[in-house]
Amino acid sequence: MNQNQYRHRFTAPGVPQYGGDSAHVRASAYALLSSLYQDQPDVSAVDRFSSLWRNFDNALSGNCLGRRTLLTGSQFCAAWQSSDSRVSLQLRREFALLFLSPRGVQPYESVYRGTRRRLMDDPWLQVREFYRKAGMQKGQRELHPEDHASVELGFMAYLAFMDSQCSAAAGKEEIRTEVAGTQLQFLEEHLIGWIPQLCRRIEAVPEAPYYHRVARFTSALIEEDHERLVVSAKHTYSTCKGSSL
Amino acid sequence: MKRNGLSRREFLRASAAAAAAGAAGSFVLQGCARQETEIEPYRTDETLGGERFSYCGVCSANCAMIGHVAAGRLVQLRGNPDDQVGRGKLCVKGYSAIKDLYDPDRLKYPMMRTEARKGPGIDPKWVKVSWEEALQTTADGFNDAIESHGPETVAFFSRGHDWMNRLRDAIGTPNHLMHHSTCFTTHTAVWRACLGMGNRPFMLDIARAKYLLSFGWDMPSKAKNMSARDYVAALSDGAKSVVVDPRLTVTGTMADEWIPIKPGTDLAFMLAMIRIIVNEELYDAELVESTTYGLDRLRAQVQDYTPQWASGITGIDAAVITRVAREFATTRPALIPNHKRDAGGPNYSNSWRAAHCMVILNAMVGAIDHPGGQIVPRRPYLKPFNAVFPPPEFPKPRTERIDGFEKHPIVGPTRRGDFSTVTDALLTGKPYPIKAALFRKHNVLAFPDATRFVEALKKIDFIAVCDVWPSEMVQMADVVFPEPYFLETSGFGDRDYHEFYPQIALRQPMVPPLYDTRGYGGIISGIADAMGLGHIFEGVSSSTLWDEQLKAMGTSWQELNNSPNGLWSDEKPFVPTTEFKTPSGKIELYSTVFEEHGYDPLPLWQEKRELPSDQYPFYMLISRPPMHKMSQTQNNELMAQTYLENAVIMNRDRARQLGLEQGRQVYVESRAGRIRLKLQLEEGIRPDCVCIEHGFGHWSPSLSIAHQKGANEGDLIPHLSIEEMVALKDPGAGACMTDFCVSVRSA
Repeated sequence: MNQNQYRHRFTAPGVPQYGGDSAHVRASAYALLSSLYQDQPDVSAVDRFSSLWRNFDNALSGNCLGRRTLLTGSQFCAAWQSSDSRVSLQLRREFALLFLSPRGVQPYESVYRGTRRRLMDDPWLQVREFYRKAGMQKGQRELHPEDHASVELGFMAYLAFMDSQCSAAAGKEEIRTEVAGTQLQFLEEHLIGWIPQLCRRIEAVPEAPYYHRVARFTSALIEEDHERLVVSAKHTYSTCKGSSL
Repeated sequence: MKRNGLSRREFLRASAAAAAAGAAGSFVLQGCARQETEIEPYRTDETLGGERFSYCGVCSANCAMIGHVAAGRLVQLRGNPDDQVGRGKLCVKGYSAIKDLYDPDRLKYPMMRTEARKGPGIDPKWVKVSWEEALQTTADGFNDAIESHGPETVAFFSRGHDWMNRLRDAIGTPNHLMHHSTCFTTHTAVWRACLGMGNRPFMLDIARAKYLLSFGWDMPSKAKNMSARDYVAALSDGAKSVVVDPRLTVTGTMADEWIPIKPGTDLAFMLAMIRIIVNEELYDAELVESTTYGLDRLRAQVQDYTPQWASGITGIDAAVITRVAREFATTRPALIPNHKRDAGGPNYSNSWRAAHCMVILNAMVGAIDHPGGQIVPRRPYLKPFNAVFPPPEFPKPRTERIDGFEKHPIVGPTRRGDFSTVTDALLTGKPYPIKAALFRKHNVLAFPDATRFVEALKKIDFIAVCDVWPSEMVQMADVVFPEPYFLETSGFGDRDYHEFYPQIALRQPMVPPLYDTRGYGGIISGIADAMGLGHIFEGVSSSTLWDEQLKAMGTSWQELNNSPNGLWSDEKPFVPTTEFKTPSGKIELYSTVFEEHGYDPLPLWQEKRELPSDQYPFYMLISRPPMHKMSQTQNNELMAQTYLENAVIMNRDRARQLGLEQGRQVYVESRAGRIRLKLQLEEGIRPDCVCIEHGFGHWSPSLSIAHQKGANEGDLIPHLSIEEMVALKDPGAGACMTDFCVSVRSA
């Protein structure tokens, strides 16, 4: 089978493309954040996202994004919304300072949760194994290691997207429940364990005001998503328990 | 619900459901960045585990190593047992190279500064750029300099490299500088003059020696793998070791005898030894007759250098000098080992004369290229780059160098340059300014008068830097090119620090490159291309070079890659060299080459340049701790755990007299500068000396471990003007790295 025929490009600000299901909002938010940790942003793309975010905020956020996520997302868009070339330069400087220079933060799970301060420590092995069990791996062209913030957030976007696809298809509730379980597991085993700490470190770098907004948005999304998935899991559990009785 | 998520099968089922709903396969996230994060279906990758061959890139010994890769991660390095250099072991630096590979501080992408000001404490305000932009910006910087000011205003600060040498020649600049005048060019000059060979004359057969007489040689405490192990082997086999050194080094602590000589007077000790050995005819008469030139002139020359005379200069009892001379000459094999910054290294204005004495003494006891002696490496024939890829005709440089290095006719042709005199030239713009420069793995901390050198760098309009780590030099760069760490690269190499027979070691990538890096050759050819000089590398590639070189050796890249031990060897019986490439065809004790070029053909006594004074009462010594390689490894987490920062090492009794206690912060000051460090008190150092370990005082905030740990003793080393350097009449253009005195006072 030629896998390329299934190759799919998921556009982060792609809510209209997928019909506006609220689950897509989550996927898009994770995808957006993945990209902001992955490479330096450019202003036009930020502007594009900002206009789409306003749609999320106004109409679609509903039951999938928490209040703090919506607030920090809006604050991020407001702060970043500019086509001024000086802002563009500032964004590039912030990106390099935070993610390319050790003066900033080191966006690798191994650095935060490993036994030693280095890359490719045990958390890297564990997250790679998680992807493998999910039948996935990072793309061959992707330079960042598997435990880089951008790859982990990208994987979460993938899971959220799968979630949205299941919700869009009739009769897939059982699978969606399982996908939700995987998301919760991934959050608990990986993202929640270090991304909030990474975000705090970003906020502690005074020369990166734009990325402070990204950090707040990221931690809000992860923490509220986690809370929501925990509640959802409890609800599902109690429902199942009730029906078995 | 399954709280622990999906199994692989279940997840694939979910993927299938999603596919039915419209998505599957590779998942590419397009956010608002220029790139995308891509996640794709898992494929079994057979390359994730196993063993790989390489050789160490931390120091030039290049011990062959075997890496164990598990789940795509390098987990262990060990020595290759079939390697004649390391013989199955690595040193602490080699074993810990994994830490450097996975150091999160490494340079990751090409970057460009957006802040015009440069210097310590100034944020370069980096931005990530594409390779094309970095290469074109560098090419523009070079071309602007060439068009506006001339080709000589472009300078290269880099070890010799085939690709770089060609670009240098195509540009037509004479200005190529390496660190060697701070490291070993005094030895090089003597070996070239007296033996007609040897750019790096450091191969030693210590293990078979029965009498080792070290003048500042201290390889065991530099963890130079083969030397340290051979030294222990020799001692275990009954060899006697005598260490002449102002400080009790690791070599000294293991020796039979430590002779705490006054710094910079080893020359006097050795001259007296020569006199005793010659007058008492203790030398190997047959070998001296057949393989050396100039014994009679030497005999006449040294008659004034009595042990009593030497005693007055060195502070060592004449009887000790006499005894050591006799022991050395009558215990065979005997050897005066040397390596770089020993007493013959470029420490003092008289060091080249000491290096000459070392050759004479070793020759007189038959230690030159004989078992248990100093060996001429048996290197394989490596077909030169220019023979494989004949170069076009290049213009000759139209000016002299800015550092005056061609004024030293014996080492000048090596084009290694002078780190000591270049600062003046950069600062004054005389004889002409440097407008653009490329630095590769030469850090500012390595330069004499380092702080002044940083000021000099500000005079250069455009600086590109190739490196693995965000060093201080990187902080001064306009464009930064990230290079891969050696464990991510491929190639092969011979290792001339320990080469009894031709042997090359394979280098395979242990793991794929972690970041968006390129090798130096690729960077250079990219710059050439962007400069409009692409034709100079037409048809040039590493793979073709390797094929041709290996073919000339009688093997091939495929055969080397399939080698069961990662080595290619051409084992031959050891046959001592009897003919040397000197005018007489012999080891020239009396050097006709020195004579021809206006240097003293025989070693004469010469005082070192600076002596203690009321203002600066201490001799300065510089050393390097065993777990660090110069200024390159201070950011290695493991190394930092064992040795985080340097200190001022002072004699305990002397410190007590001065009212200074262990751990006290002190200022050390020379006529060049002042640094602040804590005090470390020891018994094993002369009371009139202080010693500081090199490699510390990193001010790059990007080195998260090494930043602001200790101080750089280079700030104390006076630079030299070209006129001062020429006046020293040192054929090796040694930088006088410790030929100055200092004061120490409480901070």
